[in-house]
Amino acid sequence: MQPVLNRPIVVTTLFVLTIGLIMQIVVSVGLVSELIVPRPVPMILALVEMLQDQEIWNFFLITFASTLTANLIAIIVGLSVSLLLHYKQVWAKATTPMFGALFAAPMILLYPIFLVLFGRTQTTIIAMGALTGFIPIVLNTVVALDAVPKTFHAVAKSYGCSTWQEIIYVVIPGAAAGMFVGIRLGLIYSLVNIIGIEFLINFGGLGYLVSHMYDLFEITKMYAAIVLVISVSVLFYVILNLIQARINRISLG
Amino acid sequence: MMRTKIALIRLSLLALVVTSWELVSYSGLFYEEVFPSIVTILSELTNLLQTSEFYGHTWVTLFEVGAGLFFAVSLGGVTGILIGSSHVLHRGLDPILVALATTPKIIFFPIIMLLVGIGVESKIAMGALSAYFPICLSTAAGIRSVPQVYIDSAKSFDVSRLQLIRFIYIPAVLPELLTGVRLGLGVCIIGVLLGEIKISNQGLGFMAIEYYNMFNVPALYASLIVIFSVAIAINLAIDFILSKAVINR
Repeated sequence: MQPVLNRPIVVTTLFVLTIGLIMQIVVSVGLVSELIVPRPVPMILALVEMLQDQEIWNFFLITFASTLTANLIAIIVGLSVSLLLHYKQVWAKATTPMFGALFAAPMILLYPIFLVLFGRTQTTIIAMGALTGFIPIVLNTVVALDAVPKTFHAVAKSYGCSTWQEIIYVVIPGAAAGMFVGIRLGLIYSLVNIIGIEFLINFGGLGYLVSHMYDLFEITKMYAAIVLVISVSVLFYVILNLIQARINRISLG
Repeated sequence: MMRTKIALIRLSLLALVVTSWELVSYSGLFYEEVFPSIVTILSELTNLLQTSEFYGHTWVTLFEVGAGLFFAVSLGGVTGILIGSSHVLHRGLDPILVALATTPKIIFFPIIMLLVGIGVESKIAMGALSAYFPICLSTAAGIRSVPQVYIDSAKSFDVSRLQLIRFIYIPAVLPELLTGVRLGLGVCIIGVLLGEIKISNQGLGFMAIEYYNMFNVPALYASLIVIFSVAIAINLAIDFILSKAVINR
């Protein structure tokens, strides 16, 4: 039997409670002003109040819809480019290092260009989300498609499949697990960038909410909004990992 | 033959991008200021590189990135070693760190501004916070991958916990720490520049957003070219320094 204090969930909970306690003590003792760090209980109450407000759910829906739309674009374009590169290996060799370099580049800093092109609108946010999601999708899909065993292609050919039938019935199902690694990364990157841009340009969903609360100097609500953004990011990450595990199980039989 | 083909494809892609840009620029589809000609952008870039203000902004950004990375390595390295070397801490804190690592760090910027103000310190803190997670997680993962036989051998010599960290964990974890520093540097640069864009009166991020606010689009494009070049140069420099450090070990 594992001692109670050695259980990970106990340690995690104790850590979170310690942070809360530190916040409570530093404010109560007067080490830090309540205008800088709020007491934890009013912050939790503010979070609960926020969750009952329809407007907050609208912010959540805006961010969520932007992320999904951006990724739908990224998946369609990314999959098309990856298939092209899979069947034209010389093109893949020429362009993969370029995509690798773009993946490492600070792409979020390009947002002023999109602001110039589309203005302070949802289109700018979606375009930036699509751009940042597209690169990991291409990089991982190309690897996943190349990893499909040559035997699969040979069997498809022996049944007289056309190239499109081969892609739909053999290549994509065979590469599904690896492709989802890219889609999962793309979704996470998009969400992070979309919230970041919403915060920077004071427009849109959850990122705007944090920025707006700071501008109003509603410090308790601002902290509650930050906790909300962290919770949404974590939930998103956990759900995507569960889907990935399920896909891995199915594709490995 | 293959190399020539690859080089030709890359050159064709570059030519395609340049030609398309110029066609769009002269087509009148967009307002002229939005898609300036590449010649105009290059001319702005040359002007920018001749101003003393540009070098002032560059030094501020380089200082913020350097200081941010220093704090991230110090804190991330120490906490990574502590978390990695303790089973309980690792199982308890690793989920929190992984979860926080996936959140957009820029949303913590208001807290940073409240704590340290809106000066250079806030950008250093933003860079340090961004770089902390990859450095701490890589270090902890490195510690976890130290073969148990090393630890058992050391313990058979009756070493203290500090000696175990000094003589076993630190030498073993160095490659992972360096990987963390490489990853951390990229996000540190982004953190610093985003901080400068949000609120600042100096640095390359401030310079770019000022050009946007003045709707000087050619200068905006030129400043983004400079920012990307500086980011690539810093990455290459740290890669070079770290590879030398590994060879000299």
